[in-house]
Amino acid sequence: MTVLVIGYGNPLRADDGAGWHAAHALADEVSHGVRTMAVHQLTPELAAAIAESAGVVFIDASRDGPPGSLATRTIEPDARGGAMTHHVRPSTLLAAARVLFGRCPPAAIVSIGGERFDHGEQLSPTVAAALPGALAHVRAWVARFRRMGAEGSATCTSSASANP
Amino acid sequence: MANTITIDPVTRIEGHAKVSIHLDDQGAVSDARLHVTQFRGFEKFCEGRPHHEMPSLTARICGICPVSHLIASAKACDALMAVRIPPTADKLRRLLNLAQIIQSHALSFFHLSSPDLLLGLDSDPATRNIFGVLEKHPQIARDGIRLRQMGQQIIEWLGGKRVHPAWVVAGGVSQPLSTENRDRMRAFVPEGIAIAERTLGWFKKGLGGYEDEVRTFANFPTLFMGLVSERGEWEHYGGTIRVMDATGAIVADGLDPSAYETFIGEAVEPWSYLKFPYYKPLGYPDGIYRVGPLARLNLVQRTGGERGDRELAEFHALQEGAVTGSFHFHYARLVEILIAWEAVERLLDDPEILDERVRAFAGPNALSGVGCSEAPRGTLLHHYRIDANGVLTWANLIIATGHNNLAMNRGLLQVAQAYVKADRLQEGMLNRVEAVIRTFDPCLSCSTHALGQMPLEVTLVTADGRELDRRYRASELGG
Repeated sequence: MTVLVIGYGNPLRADDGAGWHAAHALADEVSHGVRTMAVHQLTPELAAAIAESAGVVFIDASRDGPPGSLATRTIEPDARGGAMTHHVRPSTLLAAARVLFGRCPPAAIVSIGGERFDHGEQLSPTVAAALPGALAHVRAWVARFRRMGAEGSATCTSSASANP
Repeated sequence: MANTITIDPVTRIEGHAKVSIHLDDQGAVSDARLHVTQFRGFEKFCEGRPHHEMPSLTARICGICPVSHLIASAKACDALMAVRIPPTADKLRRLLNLAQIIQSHALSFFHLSSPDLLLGLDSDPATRNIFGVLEKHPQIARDGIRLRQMGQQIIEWLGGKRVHPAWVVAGGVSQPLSTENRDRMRAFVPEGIAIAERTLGWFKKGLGGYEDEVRTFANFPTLFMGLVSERGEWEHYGGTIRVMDATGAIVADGLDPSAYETFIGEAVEPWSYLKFPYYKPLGYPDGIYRVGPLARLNLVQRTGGERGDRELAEFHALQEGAVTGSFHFHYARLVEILIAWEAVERLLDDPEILDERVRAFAGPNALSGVGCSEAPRGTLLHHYRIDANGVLTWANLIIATGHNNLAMNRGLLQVAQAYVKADRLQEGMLNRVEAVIRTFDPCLSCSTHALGQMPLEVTLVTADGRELDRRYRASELGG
């Protein structure tokens, strides 16, 4: 089983595309056992790919923290507020994977604090500088989920820790 | 004393809209309006760009229907270059458009509208979403996801990526189809047909439970407009425009889309950024017409495939003349998913689909060009004018949701008159106001080229302008 990395955001909206850019950067160094996807939005059909994975790492831009700040945490399946249209939450996708496909892998998210969300294809210098740190978090989660996969303990209830 | 009800935002649509319901002095509904409140001005900021950039530029109008814009735009560029694209390029563009119709209809039916259909319009809005469907009807949810997956996978295999593929270019497409990808796509067909038929069977069985909605959801006589093939069959890419009235009589046929200005007028109203196209010979607003799945099925008697023909005949049996209830947009989408899979099968079984000549090259040879195709939501027109250097001097885009604007507003009035019974907004009424809009599956991002959050605001307003009630639902779609 591979670990799935999903970077999402709109690369035409400056820092909103941080997750998208991060996924592309990671795809260039992709190793055996890791599948990387760069998408504009989370969509319902991703639930199928999630159910087939040993673990999932989401990468997203955030307005919550200071520009360039990094935050990472595990994600549990949650169906509340689950309007599953063309834009869904990671927790909704995990719940969908469990209900529809009978399996929900452990999951985490790495969030990068954005500075600019207006039109533009370039990341702000602050966010661009934070990208290597974000990728380090992603690699650590990938390593952990691969380990868990090898041990046969990779389910969504087994990722409850804020750090990899 | 007259009143107005406002619903803002309208949820589970693509874009942001507001609804106001106006009451007369006796408290009866006198008017209802869908206000499209965002503006992007894509047509204006395309000016000054080289024409060959237009397919990629206009695809950015929307993350939901980029393929539709790519195709209509590329066809407009073909016209500017005055080229006839290679037959295989024509077929490959068709294949891409069919995959777009499948995945977009699946999104509309399974993810946006099935909660209303499966859980009931009076059910708790907190659970009346796709997750409620997922828990109670997992097979239907799985089918929706699978259809989306297959449609998007075909788009990705053809275009290189799922959103904003740059494979469709002026003069054709940039790459031929490989045998490997042809075979992988072909393997989807039986499953796609099985899902479409299974869902149609389930939907038709439950249709009797929606008599009120069928009667009151934008069910009135209008014209219907759309492309039909040279043989008068279901069409989505080429052909000419047919106009039919509610009795089923063909009002106009063989209309050249590039002469659209002779038969389509575009009115504006001060309360919406979305224009109001109308059929010119009947004037505004009597020239109200509908486009999209309902219109496309009304316009033809044959689909090109046996299974599609059977379902089309059953669909036509719903009503003498044209099927006029917009609730049946849902039904029509399911029939079109089936028609599309059969069309995909025919294209992939044609050996010419693998031909490597897929692009014509030329500079600008005409100063004006129109491209027309059927997007999932209806007829899409791109019209460009360029200077001698091929630089855009003017653009006009008429989007499916725009064509349906008059009908959506009249539909809102009809449903408000049927369900608004007081000076307060009740949940079941709100749901139906939203649901009538969703039958059209409007894409406001496209039609206004709107930007930003996608949340329904409904206000209830008196004749003297006093606001009686207001409901606002936070965005379900995110931004």
